[in-house]
Parts: sequence; C-alpha cells; structure tokens
Amino acid sequence: MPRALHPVAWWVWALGLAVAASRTTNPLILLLFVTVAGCVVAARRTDAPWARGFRVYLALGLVIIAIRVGFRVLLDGQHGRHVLFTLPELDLPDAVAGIRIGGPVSLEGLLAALYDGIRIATLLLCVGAANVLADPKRLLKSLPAALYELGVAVTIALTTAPQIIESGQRIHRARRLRLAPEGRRPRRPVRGVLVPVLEDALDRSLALAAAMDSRGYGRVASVPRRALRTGRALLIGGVCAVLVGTYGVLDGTAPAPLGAPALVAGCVLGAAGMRLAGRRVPRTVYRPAPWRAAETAVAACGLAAAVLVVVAEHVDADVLFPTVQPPRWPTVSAIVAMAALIGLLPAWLAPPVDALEATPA
Amino acid sequence: MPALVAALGLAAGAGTRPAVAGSPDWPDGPCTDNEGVTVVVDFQELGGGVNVRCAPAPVASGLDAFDRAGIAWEGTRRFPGFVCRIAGLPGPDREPCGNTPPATAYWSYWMAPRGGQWCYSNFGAGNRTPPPGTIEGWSFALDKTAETVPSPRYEPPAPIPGQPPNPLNPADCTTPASSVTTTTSTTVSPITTVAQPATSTTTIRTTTTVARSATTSTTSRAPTTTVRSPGTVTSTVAAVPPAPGGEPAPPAGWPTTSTLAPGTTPRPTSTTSTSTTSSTSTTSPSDPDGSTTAPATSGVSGRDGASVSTVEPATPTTLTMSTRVPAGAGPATSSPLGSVDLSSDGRGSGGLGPATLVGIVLVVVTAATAGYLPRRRRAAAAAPLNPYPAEPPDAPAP
Repeated sequence: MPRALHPVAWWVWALGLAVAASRTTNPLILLLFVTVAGCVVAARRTDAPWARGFRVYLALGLVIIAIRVGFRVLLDGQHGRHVLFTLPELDLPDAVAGIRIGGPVSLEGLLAALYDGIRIATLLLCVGAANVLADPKRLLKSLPAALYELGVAVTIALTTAPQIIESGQRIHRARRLRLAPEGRRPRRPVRGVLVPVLEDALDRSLALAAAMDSRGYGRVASVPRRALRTGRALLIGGVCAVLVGTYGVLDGTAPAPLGAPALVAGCVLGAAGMRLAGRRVPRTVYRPAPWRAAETAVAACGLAAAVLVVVAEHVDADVLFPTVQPPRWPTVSAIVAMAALIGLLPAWLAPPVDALEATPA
Repeated sequence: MPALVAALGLAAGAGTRPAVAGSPDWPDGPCTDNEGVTVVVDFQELGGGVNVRCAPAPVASGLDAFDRAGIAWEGTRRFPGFVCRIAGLPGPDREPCGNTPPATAYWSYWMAPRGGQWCYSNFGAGNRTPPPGTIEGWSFALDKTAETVPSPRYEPPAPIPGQPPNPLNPADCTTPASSVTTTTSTTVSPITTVAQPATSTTTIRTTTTVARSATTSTTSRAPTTTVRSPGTVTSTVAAVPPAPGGEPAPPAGWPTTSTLAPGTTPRPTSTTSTSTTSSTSTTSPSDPDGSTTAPATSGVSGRDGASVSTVEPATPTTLTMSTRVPAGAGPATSSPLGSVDLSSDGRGSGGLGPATLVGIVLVVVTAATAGYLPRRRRAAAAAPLNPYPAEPPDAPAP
C-alpha cells in the first residue's frame, strides 16, 4: 500500500551510506554510492516541494569537486612524477615557506584532489538524498519532547535549503510565464531573481511564525522548579560525560574508565534528564508516523552498508584507499560492491509513493 | 573524462616501471660522487631496517630525491606533498593516508651533510632543495615526542676523499649540523635503561672513549625515554633481528601487532642485512638492547660484533661521529643495513583489471537505472488515468 516512509528510516539509511562513503577515497566506490542514492531517490521520492532538489545537490557536488581541484591546481601540492602542465609560479618571500602558488601540476596531485572532492560531494549527496526523501515535518513529530523546541529550530534550519531551491524554481517558472527570454541570464539578476527569493523567504518566515504562535509554540507547562533544575543538571552532566567518554574512546592512551563507562553513564544521565525536562512540553502527536517492517528494513540497509565498509577497511584496506602515487586504477571488491547493492535495496523495500502524488500536498 | 582515463592508463603503465626490484638503475648505497643526494630510509618499528640509495643530480626537492632514487613513496590524499608511505609502509590497513598522519606515527624528515650529523628539517620535503652531495634521512617515528623523534640509525657517510662536504642551507635546519662534538651527543642518547643496568654497563666498558662519554649523557636523559615508552625499547629490537635468520618479532609499540606481521614477512630483515653491516658495528655497542639480545658477541668483540650492529640504537649517530669518520670511510658507509625493496610499494601492478571493470559496469548500470526510473514513473502516471495529455513542465504558457 502506498504510504510515506518514516523519515527517521530515510535518515538512518542516508547516514549509513554517508558513513560508508566517508571511509573510502576510491572514486569508483564513491560514484557507486552516489548512483545508488540517486536510484533510490528516483524510485521513491514524492512530489513534495522539498523532494525536487536532488539535481541541485548534484550540481553542488560538482561545484565542490571543481573548487577542490581548482585550488589544488593553483596552490601547492603538485608533487608527482607525471607533470601534466606547468603554471607560472609566484615568487613568495621566505616567511611563507611551505606555500607555493602556481608551478607544475601533476597527475598525482590532480587525482588526489579529485578523489577528495568526490568524497565530500558524496557525503553531501547522501545528506541531500535524506533531505529529498524524508518529510521534515514528520521528522519533527518523532522527536522526544525535551528536544521539541530545539527540534523546531533545527527543522526550520534544515528546510532552508529545500525552500530556497523551491523558491528559485517557482521564480524561474514565473519568469518564463512572463515570457522572459529563454536560456539567457536575467538582465537584472538582483531585481529579477534575488529580491523575489528573499521576499519569498521573508513571507514564509512570517507565516511560519504566525502558525507557530497560533499553535502555542514556546508555551510550557508548570513544572516544579526543583524538578526542572534536577533535569537540567542531569542533562548537562550527561553531555559532559558523553564528551569525556567520546574522547576516551577515541584516544587510545586515555585511562580505561574514561572510555566506554563514561559514555554509557553519560547516555543514561542524558536520557533521565531529557525525560525530566520533557515534562515541560506536554504534547500529543496527531497521527503518529508508524514504524513498520519497511522502516526497519530501510534503516537496516543503511547500517549494513556502513558496517560492510568498516569491515572492508580491515579486510582489504587497499581497495578503499587506492594509491595515486603512482596513479593506479581503483578497484572494487566483493564486500564493497555488496555494501552498495544493499544500499540500493530501499528502492524496492520502501513502499511506493506513486499514489501519493495524486493527493494534493 | 576520456582524456583523464587515457592519462590514467598511460600513467599507470609508466608507474609500473620503477617496480623492478633490484634494478641496476638504482643501486643500493650512498652516492659515490659529491653531486647526488643520498637518501636514507629507516623503517624503525615498521620492520625492514635502514635502506640507503642515491638520487643522481640534479635533485630539485626532497620529494624529487625519492623519485630520482627510484623509491616508491606516497603522499596523503589531501596534501600530496606530505609523505605518508615510503615503499608501501605503513600499509593502508594501518594508515589510510587520507589526512595528515597522526603525530604518533609519521615519517620524520632529516638531513645531514656528509660526515656531519642528522638534523630535523624545518621544511617539508617538497619545499626544499637539498644541496648536492648532502644526505636526506627518513625515519619512522612511532609514539615519539618532539624530543624523542629518532633520527635514522645510519651514519651520514664520510666526505669523499679530496672533496670538502657541501654544507646544508642554514635555514633548513635549526641545529647547526656542522659541528661534530661529543657534547651534542647528549641530545640523541639511545635507549638506555634502568631495566637492564648490568648489561649496559658492561657493554659500554668495552667500547671506545666516545661511547664512555655516552654513559654520562645517557644517565641524564635516559630515564625519560625509557619510562615514557617502554614498548619502543622492545620494538627496536624486534624490528631488526639480532641474530642471523631471526624472524622479526611483532613490534611491541605498535597497537595491533598481528596485522603488521604479513607486511614484514615479504621483506624480512634477513641474514644478508646482518652480514653487510658488520663494518658499521662500532656505532652501537653503547646500545643496551644490542647487548641484552646478544651479550656474548658484544662483550667479546669490542671492535665489531655483527649482531650488535644490526641492533643499532635509535640514535647512535652523534656518539660515533668521531670514531666513524676515520674508520668508516669507504666500504663502511656504502652498505645498506636493510633489505626493503624501496622501488616497490607492495601494492601490485595496478593495471586495468577485472575488479576495475566490474566497478565501472556497476556504476554505469546504477546510473542508468537512476536515469530511467523517473521517466518510467512519469509515463506510468501520465498514461492510463490522466485524461489530459502529458505536458512538458517547461512549456511556455500561451
């Protein structure tokens, strides 16, 4: 039956892909993850306003790669045997030794920059896929009560990019309806495009503020001051413990009690504090998003992809980090290919959304 | 994109060329002229000993010296001029080489004039032109601090008779590298030890006066070294086996010893390295590790116990400076101590293979699917139910 998947499931899946992508510099594997995310988006996106921006994220990814490679060409870092061409080099004083502007550009340096750029772009596209697929308003519904107000702020911030994309598309369409010359840059880009986009954003935020006010945003239930204070102390203590614990886990030389025990204690403290603090925001949820088998399956696909790549890091790290000195063809191993194909499964596992398009947004 | 692919293929073909092991193009040992730059690579805990090659002139930079000497090296992905791997070590399972390696495990960059002493570089290898005839040193620093970074366990070779050694550029390194005095030796005291005091003292007594001066120096410096990283003491011994045929034990200072073992086996520090180093042995009797592993040899032969020489201390260089210069000219410095194939990074030929083709096919297939799916959806949505003909969204309004 067609329905929209729980947004948390999409986010878990996308972040799993992002974790997997962050663990490799192999361009083949990264491109595989990009196309996998693109496939799932193509198969399961809705026609909601936020769901039309994947192309924009793709373009943004290309810009990131171009910036990365461009700076690498201009700045230092072109050490390699295979010099492609030589730019005029700037003479810099000795005080800035270590910086070089211009000079020979080698294939090794270019490839290294390209791989790095593709990796960042892949991370961006994974998050973009989650943004496209998950309904931000339903995501807000499933937050714990203590984080409600914070969640609203984060949701508004997260939806800024899709909103701007949508504004841009609307204004572009409007210009064309007014028979603006096709394919040409607007003669006055600030007046023609930028001002309408900003105006749109302002209108939207005013409407949003009015809507939030009418729904009682910011109003809190009366809770004994002592409970509030305890909750706050628990929360702060928990966050501190989590910080120390994370540091302890990451730093191998830290004393053992600072590692996992502190992390667990911090999580417990934080959960307790959150429950206490959540009493201030008594809310019910209208039509809560269900978490069914499809949600579990989609989230598991993302997690499995991440775990498989982490496993591959121990089994054949050579595949994940292809050398560029000398340049060599990147390869794909069975584990990594499996990770990508598992990441592709949500294109079928998630319920279809075709019938949803008929209903007005 | 096709141009890039073509360039990649071309480069991959060219890149396989230096992988010929033991090629006569790059003989081991320091330069025999005063023009080339000698490159010394000390693998320390990575296993493989100390390897020496000559980069023939002209050498444009420290990294160019690698290339001209036929040494396989790899920079980090983010900063390609930052040396991350030499001859494929440390392997990708240990160091992905995406970012700058951590301060606890990196290749330290040293330099020295002929007959001089090692000096930690102020510059990156790519930003410095080594003067002709000088020595470049690379030493792997595992769990070291700024004070305990080990210089290569190899004497800068003596000046070529009749040719004055070329000095270093004074800006390149802070410590004046020209003075050869025993007082400076205090800065580089080897691993000395509180744990095995008896052996170390006996060894030192059998050695020269320079070594005796080291006793005084080590007493002041040694405790910090030993206490801070006791693992390093053992790993130094392990990386370079003391006896002929000894298999390198897993370095203790390295977090996961099991995974390192496969990397070391194909390039064992075998008997050949032990035999070649006998002449340089006077450098190391002051090393307690050498004496503990092979006390008999070092005790009896104060002159040159072969086993002692292999187990050179972490930084014996300055101690032996005065003894080495007269004795060690000629064959002493011309024999490398390690047996790593510097030309190979141990990662295969890297040609276009089935694993790459499978990956390309996978990418193309998924990309085509991603392009095809929305078209099918649009067609399916438009065709049967919709009474209105499908209209391209970007058609201008009438």
